[in-house]
Amino acid sequence: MSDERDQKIAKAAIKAAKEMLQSLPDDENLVMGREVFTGKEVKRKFEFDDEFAAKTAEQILKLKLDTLVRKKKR
Amino acid sequence: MPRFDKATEYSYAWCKAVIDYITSDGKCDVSVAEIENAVKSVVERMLNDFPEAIFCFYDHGNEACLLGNDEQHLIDLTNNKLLKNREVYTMACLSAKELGVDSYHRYHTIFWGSWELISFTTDALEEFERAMNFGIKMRIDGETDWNKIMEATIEHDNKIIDELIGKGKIFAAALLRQDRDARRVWTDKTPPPDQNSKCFWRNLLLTLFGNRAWRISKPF
Repeated sequence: MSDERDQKIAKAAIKAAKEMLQSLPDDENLVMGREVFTGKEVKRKFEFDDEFAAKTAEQILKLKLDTLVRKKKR
Repeated sequence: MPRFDKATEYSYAWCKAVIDYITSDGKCDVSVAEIENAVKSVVERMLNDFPEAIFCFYDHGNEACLLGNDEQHLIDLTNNKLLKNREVYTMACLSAKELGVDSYHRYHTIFWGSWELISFTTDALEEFERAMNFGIKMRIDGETDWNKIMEATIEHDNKIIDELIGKGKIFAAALLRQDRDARRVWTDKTPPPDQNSKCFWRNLLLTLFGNRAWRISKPF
């Protein structure tokens, strides 16, 4: 039951992260410190690099939370 | 202003924008160590020549150093005495950690830096430039309280984040949120959290004397 729940949550986070990455055009770059990736590479990296994928999912969740908290404060 | 890889091409341009801002109507004097001159020997000489100047550094770094154009240490824990009683503004990755903490504690440096890697996307270069340059521009315009500058910069970042979301640049917005939260300014109002030094002897002194032990120049 718990596994199924976790999977559902993970699926939703992955979907949101993928949608977020779609906002970066393939020919634009992501710069992370000294590393530079094209938009196309970033989308591929998301599929194969678990750590990067998890971090990306965390980023969209944190952004969503941040905007909600700020809206509430207004 | 080093420029030696793809990432520094962007930060170089942002720093150039700050210099243009300063020089456009002669707001204050500026001395620039650019590209091949952005190396330790030149910068050390400049810091010695201008002991009261604000030190602004835009490019790569790590927890314990800022990197010069030759990819060697420009400022690290061996020469950060040159930052004594100085205001430092840098967007170098991780710089608020060891270098920022050590400079604040030992040399009373006001240190503006990042606790994490700086990330950005090139589809929103103009927005990231505005965000990265806001704090130093406010200082140049006469605000001397770095904590007020930090508050205003966070507000400014929030506006840009919302602007990016409105434009559908969601990934850029997420990265700017991350950069915003990673930013630190070490001042007497917002000092670094208590933490250990990597030096055994300093840790011993910190245990014995508390934060005053940071002011002992070289324990052994």
